[in-house]
Amino acid sequence: MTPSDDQHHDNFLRLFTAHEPAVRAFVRALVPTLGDANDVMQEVSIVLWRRFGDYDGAKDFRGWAFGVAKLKMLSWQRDRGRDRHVFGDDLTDLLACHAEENAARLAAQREALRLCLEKLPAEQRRLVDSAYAPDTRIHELAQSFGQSIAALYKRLHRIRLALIECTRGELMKEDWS
Amino acid sequence: MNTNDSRFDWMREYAEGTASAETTTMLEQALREDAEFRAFFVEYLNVDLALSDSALLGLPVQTFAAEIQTERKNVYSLQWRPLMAAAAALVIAGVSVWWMHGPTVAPSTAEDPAGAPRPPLAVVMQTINAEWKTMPFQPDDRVPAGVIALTKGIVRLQFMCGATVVIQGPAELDLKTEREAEVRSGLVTATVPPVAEGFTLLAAGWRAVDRGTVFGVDARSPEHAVVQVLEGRVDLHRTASSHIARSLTTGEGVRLSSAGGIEPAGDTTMKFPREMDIIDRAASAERKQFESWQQQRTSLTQDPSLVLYFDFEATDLARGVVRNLAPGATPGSDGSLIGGEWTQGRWPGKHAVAFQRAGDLVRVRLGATLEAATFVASVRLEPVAKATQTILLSPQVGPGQIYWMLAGRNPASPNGKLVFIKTPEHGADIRLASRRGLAAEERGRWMQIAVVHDPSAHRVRHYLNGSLIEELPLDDATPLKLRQLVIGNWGFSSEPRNLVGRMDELAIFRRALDETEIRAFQTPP
Repeated sequence: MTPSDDQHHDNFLRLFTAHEPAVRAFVRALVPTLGDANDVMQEVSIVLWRRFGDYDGAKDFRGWAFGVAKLKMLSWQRDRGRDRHVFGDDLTDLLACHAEENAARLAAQREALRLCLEKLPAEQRRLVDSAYAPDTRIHELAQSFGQSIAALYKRLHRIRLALIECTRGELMKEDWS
Repeated sequence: MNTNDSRFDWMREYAEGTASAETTTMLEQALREDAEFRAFFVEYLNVDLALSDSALLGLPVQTFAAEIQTERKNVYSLQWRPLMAAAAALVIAGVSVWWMHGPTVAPSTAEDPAGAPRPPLAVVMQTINAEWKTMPFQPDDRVPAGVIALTKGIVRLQFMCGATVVIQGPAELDLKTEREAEVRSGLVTATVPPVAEGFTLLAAGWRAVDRGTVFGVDARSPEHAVVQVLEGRVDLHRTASSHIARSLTTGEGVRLSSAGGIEPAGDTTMKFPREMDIIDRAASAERKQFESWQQQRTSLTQDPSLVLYFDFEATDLARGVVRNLAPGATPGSDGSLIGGEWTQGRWPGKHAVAFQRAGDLVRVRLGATLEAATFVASVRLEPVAKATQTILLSPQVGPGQIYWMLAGRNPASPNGKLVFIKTPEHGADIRLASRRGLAAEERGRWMQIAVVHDPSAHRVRHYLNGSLIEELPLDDATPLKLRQLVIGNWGFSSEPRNLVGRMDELAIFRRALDETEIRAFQTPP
């Protein structure tokens, strides 16, 4: 690599690693499932790297990355919309706006989640850890917890709701409205 | 908010991926109408995402700021963790046995109908001219419980207990446990080391239980089986009985009828396949293959259209230099191995690079601009749960850059497709993915993959083991600007995309090879 390549590479890496969680969260707000978010994010990170030459260093990287992510997301939705129902562009815009405006709050929420996870009863914590581990097969998990898949999904849902409640409390303490 | 109302169930189903079109429409309406619900919805997905990250890292959720700090220090350091997390998930799911015995299962038979992997009972050691009636296995494949059947040829298996069997086709063997199998037909010789004493072969309603031995079972006749002790001692029982009906020692053979009769069979030692013969024959077949590959490659490297050719043989192992043997190689286009290790390739004596961790890569300053191009690689993927694995990419920015990878939807359906991505002069990247992916059993085996970039025919073609698996239209003629190449890695994400496997050959041509040429590039017979 020439020095300028190195520098280019380092700049990208620095910005990307700093903003990747926010971009991922932004993408997650706009697609149905975690798997979809990973798919789109995969594409987004390639485009960001490929197009990094177009990025104006004076501007906000995150804003630029959100813009790229949104375009990628819309094209993903169009592809996906051929075989199943996806949200309309107007709603996607509303969600994108909200996620962008609240990016800092969402980041704080993700941090607060650490404390909240520690407060979870052990059994619930175990369920969350195993349900979100890569490669988990939901039917096997349901079996090992002695529940039906539907019941397991509902339990996870209730845990997520409780975690949101808890993170909201934590955010209040830190003066997030 | 009252989280009991049905909007919250729609939200849940949507995030699980189980929502119907109708539910999605209702949710969409609710989200449009109510800003507060919309805000909650975004939080819900945010928490869902953050939980997956913490699990992905195999850690209790670490602060994201700290994570970024770690990542800044070493962008690659996070990337091996998902493997641990995947292993942990398997232990939780109660299938750790499979993991511990090594992940090279040939999964189309190795999964039960519910999709859970079944533990392997044996490993395929050698095969000679084997033709299979059941799903074919190759050396190094793991064999789970069940029937394997050969129409011809010879296969040597090692059971997990340590006993080995040589099966001469036509034959059918039913693997029951790691120390027991039933010879349904054919000739089988078992070699049992002291550690595996008690290894049992069943035939014609009898059990031949080893007591430190080499013995054979001939079940070619449907009415009776011959048990012959070649060395040591064997106890014979009726299947359902613990009573020893007869003990045989070296040189003794008996004919056992399914009705329960025992007659002397004389010494039939000579007809049983011997383990050492098989090992020698397999080794000599491999040597021949390796030699014919070497001869083929000597002529191949005369091709003036070759711009890069790594056989990973002409290497300076200590310095990690991979020589570019292409006649048209630009000066300074040897590769540098960074991380990674030298290991065995397709045959004993053949070198390969083992890519294990994120950050293992080969970097090349190729300095070539190609209109048409063909990329061919010989790789063996380790069957690990990884959605995406990089074969190679050009790490520059701008038009004419490429990215060649194996990509699946998620770690649960790894390496689904062969994907070639190209950055055109204008507009978005062009993604050219095969619809068909690798079958699960192709992981863990050597295979040849190729992609042909043929702008004059407006086509991109993907090949697997010499066969065309996908042909895609290409309306972009931007030349490929391959100033640099990175092989086996892509480091810019917390999601690891490094190759986990071996590569023992890589060729890049500045023309579109046709199918015959691609096939000729295949491993020689």
